[in-house]
Amino acid sequence: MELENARQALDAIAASRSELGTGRRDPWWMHLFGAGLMALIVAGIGFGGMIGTLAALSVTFAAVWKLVYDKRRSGIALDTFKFRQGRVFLGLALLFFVPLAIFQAQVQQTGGPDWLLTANAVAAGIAGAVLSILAGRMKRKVLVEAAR
Amino acid sequence: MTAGQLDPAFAATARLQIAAVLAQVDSGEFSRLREITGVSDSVLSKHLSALVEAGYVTLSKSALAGRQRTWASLTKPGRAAFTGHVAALQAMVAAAGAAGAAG
Repeated sequence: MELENARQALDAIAASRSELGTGRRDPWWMHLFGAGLMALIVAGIGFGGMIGTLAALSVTFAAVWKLVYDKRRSGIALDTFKFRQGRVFLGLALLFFVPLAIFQAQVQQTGGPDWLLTANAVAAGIAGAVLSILAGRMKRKVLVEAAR
Repeated sequence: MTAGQLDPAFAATARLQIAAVLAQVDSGEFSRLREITGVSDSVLSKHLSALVEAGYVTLSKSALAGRQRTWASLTKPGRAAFTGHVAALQAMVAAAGAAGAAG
């Protein structure tokens, strides 16, 4: 009987862990928010004259904030950066936005056309939405990994 | 791996499930724990209180989406006790398996 209890207990543990692995999908407005935030940052560099470094810091902060927000919203908090996916995501965020931010600052400094500044901000918005979707997927993968 | 010790604090399946979830993460929110364990609010609350009393879990409150939420985290002794408990269960099942194979 004790053995049966032990087996049942181990089964219960395994079931709880697999349940933990079912992360929830992000709502569409989260991605819209991600897109808007990134577009605003890059647009701000072009039209407001902010420096690229500040933008890169803002983007890094936004990416980290999104990860933190995501994990808390799913009812589970874990240090995402203990996991490879978390670090890959942050790398991707920087890879997308630092060149965009630097390019935007250069266009602004050299007095480039408004349409280029706008196009760059729109590109940042699209990249923001893509990153937001990636962040959601990454979060679910992290949860699945945590469940193992 | 050394075989751990069975801990009476984890005798109830729900408590074991709570610890299993919390051992994988930094903290878990009350409603998420309720979904995973499949028990009612009051039952979960009692189990959490028992684990807090044993010094295995800490509770904290924080606002999320405009509502106050309770988050639970496993303490260091709690994590150690859970690991030991699981090791003891696994050793028990393994020993029974070995005895079955020999017999």
